[in-house]
Amino acid sequence: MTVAPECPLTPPATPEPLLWHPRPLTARGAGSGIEWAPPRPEVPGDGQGTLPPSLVVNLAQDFQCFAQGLLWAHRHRMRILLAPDPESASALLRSLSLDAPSLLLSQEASTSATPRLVAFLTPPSSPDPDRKRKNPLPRGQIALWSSGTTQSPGLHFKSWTQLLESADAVGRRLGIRRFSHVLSTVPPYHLYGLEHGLFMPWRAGVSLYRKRLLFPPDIRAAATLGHCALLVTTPFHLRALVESGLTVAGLGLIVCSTAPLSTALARESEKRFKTPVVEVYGSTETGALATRRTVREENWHLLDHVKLARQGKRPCIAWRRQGTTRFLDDEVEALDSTHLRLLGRRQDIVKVAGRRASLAALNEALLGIPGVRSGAFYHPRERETRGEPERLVAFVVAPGLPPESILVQLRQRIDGPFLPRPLVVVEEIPHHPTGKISQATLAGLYREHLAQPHDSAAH
Amino acid sequence: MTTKKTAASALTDWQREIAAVLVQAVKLRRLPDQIDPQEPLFGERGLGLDSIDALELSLALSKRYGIQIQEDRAESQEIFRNLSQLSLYVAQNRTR
Repeated sequence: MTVAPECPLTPPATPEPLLWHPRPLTARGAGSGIEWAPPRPEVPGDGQGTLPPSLVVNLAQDFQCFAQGLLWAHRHRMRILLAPDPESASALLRSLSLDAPSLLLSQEASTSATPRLVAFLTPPSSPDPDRKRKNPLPRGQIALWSSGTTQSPGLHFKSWTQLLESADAVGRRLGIRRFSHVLSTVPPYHLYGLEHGLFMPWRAGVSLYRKRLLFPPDIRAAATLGHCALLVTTPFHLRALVESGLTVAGLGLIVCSTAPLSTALARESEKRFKTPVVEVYGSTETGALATRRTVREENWHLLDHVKLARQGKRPCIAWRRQGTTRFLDDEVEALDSTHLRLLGRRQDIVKVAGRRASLAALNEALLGIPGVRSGAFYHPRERETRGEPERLVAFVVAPGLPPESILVQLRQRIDGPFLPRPLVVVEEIPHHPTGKISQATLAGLYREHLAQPHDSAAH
Repeated sequence: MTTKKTAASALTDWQREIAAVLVQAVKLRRLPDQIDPQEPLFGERGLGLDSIDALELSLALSKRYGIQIQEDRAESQEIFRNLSQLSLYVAQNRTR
C-alpha cells in the first residue's frame, strides 16, 4: 500500500471550532437528495492517469471530517466501508481482494490534538482495467465491519434509509431537539457511534462536539459548552468517568450501549451526574431497536420504526415502513407489540448440566459485584477442554478483591451449575475500543491461563 | 513471553516508577526496564497502545499523582509521545 501525501479534505480552521452546527441532513429514498456538498478533496493520483478510487474507508475520529468524507464518497458513488481501525481496514481490503484502488480517510492518531485527514491510496493490483474482479461491496450502501463479540467478525450492509430511520427513531424517543449538543466517546465509524453520535443530531440540526471524547476531564469541559448535553457512551467509558471522581455538570442525558450495563453502574452514574441513563438495545445487523431506563425498567421499549411480530413460534422484529422482518440473534419474549424482555443472546445461551443460562446475564451478575472492574464468562469449546465436562470459566479484573469473595457473591446471584470452574483473576482484559470483550480475547485468556496452572486461579 | 528486549538506554528511577505504573495500568507484557524511554507509546512501531489504554493510563495517573490528562490541550500529544515525555509531564504537574 502506498502512503500518499496528506489529503486536505477540510481547510485548516483556526481556531478550531469544537462544536459543529450542522444543517439538518435530509434524505429522500436511498440516500438521494442529500444536501450540503462538501468540498472535493484533492485525491493524490486522481486525474493523473491512475484510476479514481472506488472505495472509501473512513476512519476519521473527528465527526465533521467523518461526515464530510462520508457525503463526499456518497456523492461520487464510491463504495463506503467502515472499519474499527487502520490495521483491520488494510487486512479487510486484502481479504476482499479488491483490485480497484481504495482510499482510506483517516486522522493521524487517536491522541492527535488537531484533526487532520490523511489519505492512503492503494494502487490497482491489476494494470489491465478489463480484468476487473467483482467488487463484493454494493454501491449506495454503507458496509460495516462488525466486531465479533458473540460470533466471528463479519461485514454488514446498511442503506442510508435504514441508518437514518433508526437514528430518527432514537432521536424521537430521546427528544433530541431539547439538547444543546451531543458528545460521544464512540467513534463515528462504529454503527452505534454513527447512529447516535452523528446521524441523530445531524438529522435534527443539533450541534455535536467534533472530537470523539476519551478522557474524563475532556468530557467535563465539553459538557458545559451548551445548556444541556447528551452523552453517547459505553459501559466501559461510563465506568471510567465514574471512577475518575470528577463532577460533570451540564449533562441532560447519558445514552449507553455496545455491552450490558449493570444496574449498579447505571444507578451510580445517575446519582453522580444527576441525569438519567438510557440503555439502547440493538446490533450491527439491526441498528438501534429499543431503549430502557436501566435503573427503573427491566423490559425494553421498542423504538417506533419497528414492532414485534411472530413467525411460527418465534418472535421477530418487523420494520414498519419497509415491511421487512428479521429474527433476532437474541432470545426474546414479546410482552406486547412494543415491549420485550431480553432473555439472552442466541449464541449466548449456554447449557450446563441440562440447564440453560445467558452469558450476557451471567456477565451482568459478575459485573454487578462491587469492586469488579471488568470481566466475562467464557464457555470453552469441547476441543479446548479435551473432552472434559464443559463448565464455564470466568475471567475477572477486581483489584484488591479475593477470588473467594467474588465467588461468594456470585453464588448469591447465579445458579450453581453456572458458577465458574475456575474463576481466574487477571490484571487486565483487553477490550475493543468500544469496550467490548471479544470471543477471541477470551479464547486467548483461556489458552494462556488454563493451559497451565495459574497462581490466582480459585475453585 | 520468552522474548527479551533490552532497553536502548537505562531508565532513571523516576522513569522506572512511571514505567511501572504504565505496565500495570495497561498490562504490558514487559518489565518496566525493558521500555525504551524514547519508544513511541502509541502506534505500530512502539508499544502499540490504543485509546482504551490511554484512558486506563490517564485514570492510573490521576489516582496516583492527581494528574488530569486532557486531550483538548496542546501538550496532550507530547505527554503520550514516549516514556521520557510522560515522566517529565507527571513530574512537573503532579499534585500528590
